[in-house]
Amino acid sequence: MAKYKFIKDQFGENCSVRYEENGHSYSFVIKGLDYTSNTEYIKYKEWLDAGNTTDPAD
Amino acid sequence: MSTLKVDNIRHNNATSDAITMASDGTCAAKITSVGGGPLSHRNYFINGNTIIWQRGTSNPNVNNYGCDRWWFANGATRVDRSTVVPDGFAYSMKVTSNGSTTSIGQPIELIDTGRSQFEPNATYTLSFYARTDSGTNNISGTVYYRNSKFNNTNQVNWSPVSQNMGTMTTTFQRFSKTFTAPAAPNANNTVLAIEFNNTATYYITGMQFERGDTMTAYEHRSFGDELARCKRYYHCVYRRGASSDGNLSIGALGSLYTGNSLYIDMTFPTQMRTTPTLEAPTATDRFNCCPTTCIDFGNPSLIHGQKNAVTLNATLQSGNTAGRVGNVFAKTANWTEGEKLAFTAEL
Repeated sequence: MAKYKFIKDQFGENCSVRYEENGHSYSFVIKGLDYTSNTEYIKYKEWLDAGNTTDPAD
Repeated sequence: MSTLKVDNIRHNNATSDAITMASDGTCAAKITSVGGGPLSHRNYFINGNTIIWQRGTSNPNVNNYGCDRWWFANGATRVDRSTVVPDGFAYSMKVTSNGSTTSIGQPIELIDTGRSQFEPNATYTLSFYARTDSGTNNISGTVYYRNSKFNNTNQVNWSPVSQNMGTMTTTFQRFSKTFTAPAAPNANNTVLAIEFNNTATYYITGMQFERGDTMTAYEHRSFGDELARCKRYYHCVYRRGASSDGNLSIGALGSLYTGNSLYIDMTFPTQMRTTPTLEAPTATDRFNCCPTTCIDFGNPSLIHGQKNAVTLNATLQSGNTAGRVGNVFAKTANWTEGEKLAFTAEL
């Protein structure tokens, strides 16, 4: 199981990712406006660039 | 009527002028207070007097943040809100140290990537009130432009980059040093990172970073003003304290896209710095939605978003009819202390 998992929207597209830590989930979008400066997205991008793969959505 | 004609005004024991006259009839003055009160729009720090604690007041730690806008790291094992304060302040931040280098700081957002609001080669003064829990300890201040607060790639130092601000004792003192801005930030810098480092447990409040070489009276802003500024970076809708708050509105309406797929639209009171991250409890019984009857749900995900508004998605525990809408509540009796529904756009 990877750290991150995709979330699909009502159109069936992977629109955000989430992970869980200490009883809380953290989710953020990966498309749209003004998301690339989100520090969680930046960490996620670094994780992807290190060769990791996001788990598919349910 | 008479006119006092002088070039400058200086106290007998001072080494520089308090008022410097110009030949065009104007003057520059080093005013540190007005009638004992502060000047306004001076302080570049947000929540410098540590009054906003949206994440909680007892050792909150969400991605290194406790007190709003102030991160802690390295030997700082916890931060707590404290009423051990100098006169004129309501709260301080107690920073507990494990004895190694203990760091706190605030990243000041630049106007845009590589675009600074700080004047090139100009002086700025860093000041704060601090005391130790016991004994004495030196505290340093560090100022530099960075790509992000913990990333030294493309770091551009101010001059000097770091200074010993002084020696803390068990009595509050106000410390102050002046730093000079470099000619420009790097094109990839996004923050002016300001840090304090020491090696002891201590109390700190009244942090101020202001233009000029002179420390002025601390600029107190209203609670509402500081909270609104903090909410650009962190917006807590609800955080459960020690006791339940009953069924609490989260200020949003839910609509059923299918019989059990719930979409919740929320707007923010302040535009956030970036499209934020949702933080929510993973348990499945923390909320309910009431289209015709109240149905539990939990573990929402952020599914669409921008800086002003977001849409969350969650699955209801039992089905209803697609197309219906209902009020959404936090069932806070089911929450445990410290669980929160919040959005973060911190630097």
